[in-house]
Amino acid sequence: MFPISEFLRRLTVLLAIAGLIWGGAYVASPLVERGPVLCTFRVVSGKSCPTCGMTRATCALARGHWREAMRHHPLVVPFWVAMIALIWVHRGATASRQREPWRRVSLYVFLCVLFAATVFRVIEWIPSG
Amino acid sequence: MGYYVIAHDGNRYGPADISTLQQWVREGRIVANTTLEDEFTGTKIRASLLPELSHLFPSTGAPPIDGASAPPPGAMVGGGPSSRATTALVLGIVGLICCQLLSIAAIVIGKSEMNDVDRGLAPVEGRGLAQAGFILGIVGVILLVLGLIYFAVMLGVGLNSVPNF
Repeated sequence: MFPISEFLRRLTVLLAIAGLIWGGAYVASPLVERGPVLCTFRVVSGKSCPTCGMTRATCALARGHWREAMRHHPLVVPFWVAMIALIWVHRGATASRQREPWRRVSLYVFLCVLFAATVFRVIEWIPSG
Repeated sequence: MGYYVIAHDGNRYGPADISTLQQWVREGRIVANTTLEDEFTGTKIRASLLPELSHLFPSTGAPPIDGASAPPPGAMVGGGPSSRATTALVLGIVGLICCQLLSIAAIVIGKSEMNDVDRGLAPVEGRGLAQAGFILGIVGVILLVLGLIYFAVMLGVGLNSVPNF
């Protein structure tokens, strides 16, 4: 798919970004549990937005606490898989006929995950009973 | 005067004179977005913007080129911004006001789209949107980091309750 030098360069960039996110999430993990609400939507409306809980879930995931991560946001794993795919396909790439379908697919998959998160939250908003 | 034809794979063909280029257009080997390079000056231009070839392509709605408002040579003009540029802007806005993690995606998509526009591979109309998404993404990530630092400092000085912001 890519020349080997291009592959290694992309892999290095991806690992650097992933390491930065993982390290940041690991360090910030004790903070976000008791931290302030950064989401304007939640502050204003009192309801969770589609991605509310994703930061806490990511921090829990960074510490290997899977159940806690799922409790904060059940789509945390698909979210980061889609995000990594998006970075992998887009980072440092220029458009070409061969890569364009992958760029499009990765973007659509990412947007589908966000749509699924939105549906999940809308269902939560509906009062039970 | 002749032009090199820059293929999508980056290879150069030619130089070819105008009549040959016109023949290649009729054969479909050169399309409106194909980049041509002047053999003497090295100036790149989109095939549909070359006056000798423009009449051979269907109208693309390209605006007339005049002075400062002219797009860079070889730029893809017309058709409005790409969906990717719009997505970068939307993710940048949503990342700023809701989940700052989306700002990472805004940065990646925005930067990628800006590169494509600069290389003439995406509509130039989308550059502003992509750049806005890219900048908003950076602001969102900075806000997230600053928020965490702020909270860490507040915890450090012994405040148990931190106001929302």
